Amino acid sequence: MDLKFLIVDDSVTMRRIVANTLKNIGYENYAEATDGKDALIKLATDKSLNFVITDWNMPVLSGLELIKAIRSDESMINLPILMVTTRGVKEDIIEALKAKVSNYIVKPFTPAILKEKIDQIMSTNPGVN
Amino acid sequence: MKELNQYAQLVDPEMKEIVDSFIVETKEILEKLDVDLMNLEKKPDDKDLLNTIFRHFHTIKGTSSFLALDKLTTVTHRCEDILNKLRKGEAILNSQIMDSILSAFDKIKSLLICIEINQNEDINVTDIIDELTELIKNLESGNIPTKESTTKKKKATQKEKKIESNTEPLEEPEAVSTVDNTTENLSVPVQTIDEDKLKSDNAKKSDNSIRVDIQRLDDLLNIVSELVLGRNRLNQVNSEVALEQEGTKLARDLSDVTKLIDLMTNELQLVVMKTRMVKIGKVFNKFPRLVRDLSKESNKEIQLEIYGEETELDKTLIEEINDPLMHLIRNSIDHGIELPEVRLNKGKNSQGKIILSAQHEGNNIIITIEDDGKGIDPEVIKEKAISKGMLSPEKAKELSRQDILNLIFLPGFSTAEVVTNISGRGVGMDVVKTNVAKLRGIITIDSNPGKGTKIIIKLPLTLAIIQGMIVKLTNQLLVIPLNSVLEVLRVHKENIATVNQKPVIRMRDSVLPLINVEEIMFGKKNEDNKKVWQYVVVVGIAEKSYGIEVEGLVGQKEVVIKSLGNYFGKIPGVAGSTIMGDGSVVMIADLNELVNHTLK
Repeated sequence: MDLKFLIVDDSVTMRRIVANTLKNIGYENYAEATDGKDALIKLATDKSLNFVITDWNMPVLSGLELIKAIRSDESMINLPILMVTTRGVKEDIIEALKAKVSNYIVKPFTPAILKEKIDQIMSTNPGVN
Repeated sequence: MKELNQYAQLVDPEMKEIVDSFIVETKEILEKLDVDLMNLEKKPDDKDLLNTIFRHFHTIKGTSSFLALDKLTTVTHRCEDILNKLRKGEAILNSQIMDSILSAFDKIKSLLICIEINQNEDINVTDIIDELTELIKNLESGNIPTKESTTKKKKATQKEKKIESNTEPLEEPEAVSTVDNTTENLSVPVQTIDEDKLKSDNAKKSDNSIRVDIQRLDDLLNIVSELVLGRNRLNQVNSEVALEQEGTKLARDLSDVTKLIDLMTNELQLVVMKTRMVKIGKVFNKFPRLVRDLSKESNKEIQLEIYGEETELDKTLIEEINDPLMHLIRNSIDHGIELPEVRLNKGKNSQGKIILSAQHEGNNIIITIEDDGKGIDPEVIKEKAISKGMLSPEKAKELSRQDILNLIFLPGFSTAEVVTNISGRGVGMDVVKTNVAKLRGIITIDSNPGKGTKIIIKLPLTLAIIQGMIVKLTNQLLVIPLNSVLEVLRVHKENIATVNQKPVIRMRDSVLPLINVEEIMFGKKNEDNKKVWQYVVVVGIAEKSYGIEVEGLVGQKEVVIKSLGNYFGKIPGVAGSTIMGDGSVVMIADLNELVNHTLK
């Protein structure tokens, strides 16, 4: 199926890196958001977005708060969310998993690892329409 | 193999967009960090601020890790760890932690410059990583290290640092080797910036702004300049038609269209100018850190106050004004502000004050640097100039107070008895003067011995389209940039005197050298038909005033500076040319060069 990603990160460079990595594994369709709040607006207005890749630490609304907000919305309860994190922050990962993030990926990642994570999520996620 | 290819991504054309974005974004983050870290010193337990700073380091760490910038990633990672402890309340900020974070910040800056210029990370980061690692270890064990232990360590690594500094593009600030325990709470207040406002500004920015390559803005400005020329021509044609075909429909229609185009061109020009404007805060924000470091180094207590950082000016000017301002601030700290004991003895507050401000005045920006230090004594300057052979004792008597103060702008002039690390390294005020003159600015110095010094710099807002005063020479017109014009005089032939075989006029209490443009440009001198009353345009160039002899005054006009092109090359005294409404080409005077030529 066609995936349209929402890349959520306050760093423009990071968004480009993620977009570039996606391109390398054959995904060209994506939108960008600069923080959690922006992401919620984009998700509400563009229903074709069906995969969220979000950073953890962002101003306004953090990645964790974004995950919680998404999961509290009935219509997005199964939306695939991949959290991008850095090494050495185990507490963050535990919190994110508690908030029902689909999976997480540690920076810096290679295209192969990203593909593996996406495939993993897509094969186990029942709610993907 | 990995070693060889580690930085290959930086030069990979496919990665260019990401690398460029990384450099621009990291620079922006570092600018914000500079301000935020200075604020943190004042509000060490501001949770929001700690979070913001944490996020800055976090972002750099994340993005640099993708570009395999191992050193940058490691240093920012350590900083992130420290900030994480601070924001979680696991450690409390003290001056030692702050110093380490600041040295790390400097190292990150050096690394970024190295990455941008050399496409590698050839900088030694072992010291800083060791310092940060040890700090983290100590914070984890709950044992805040004493001053001594780190001081020793820093001393031990200083030698190494010196060797390494040769290969570094950025100057390393000297490690603070002795820190008095009483200065535990850093007492260098800096300008507070309302963080809430900053935050909301940032939020707004990310929503409503886009990043544009400066080249595109330059192109846009060029096109608008051409349009302005066309508009001027249209105005001219319109007035000709109005004369010849008065009252016809054609004349009326043309007049309407001309008015509309005129209005729209003005608007467009204004908008394009605004697009290129950058807040001077971009430059000012670097100074709190400079003042902090230098006052520590010189054992002085200095408070820096900043006003008008919202004032905007053209991007090209922003880049050029940084060095002169930095030099003037260094001068104030080094030569102006006295040591605390000296100040107390003089009945002053032990803490010195430097006020940096910017404001608009018409088409100019006025930047002032004011300190409440010891001021400049004209007598000392005079003696110094005489002893250095720059001035004869006879001539010294004739100089006005202002003229004497201006002597400090002469090359090789330095009044400090001791040449310190901070200023007085031979690149004195003459460099400041040259830079200001290059930007068609005027610099004025005012000093009150014992009370302080005030330096005022007046700069045009933009360099491409200027207001020009059009004057008539014997048989051609000349444009003089209006922002340099101070006043226009009508001088009687008999009031023109000669000093050292050069013509001068007396204006109020000063003597102005008189410049004959035609003599410089064309080498001719027509003394015979000199009028009884001569028009003289008085102009200010950097710190001095000069008179320019002209035949007549034509008017004021907005002119676009066009280069003369390769065919002519560089003609001394000519900044460029412009095209008048009637299609004729008129030269624009480069006053700075004209003056230098006259002095030769």
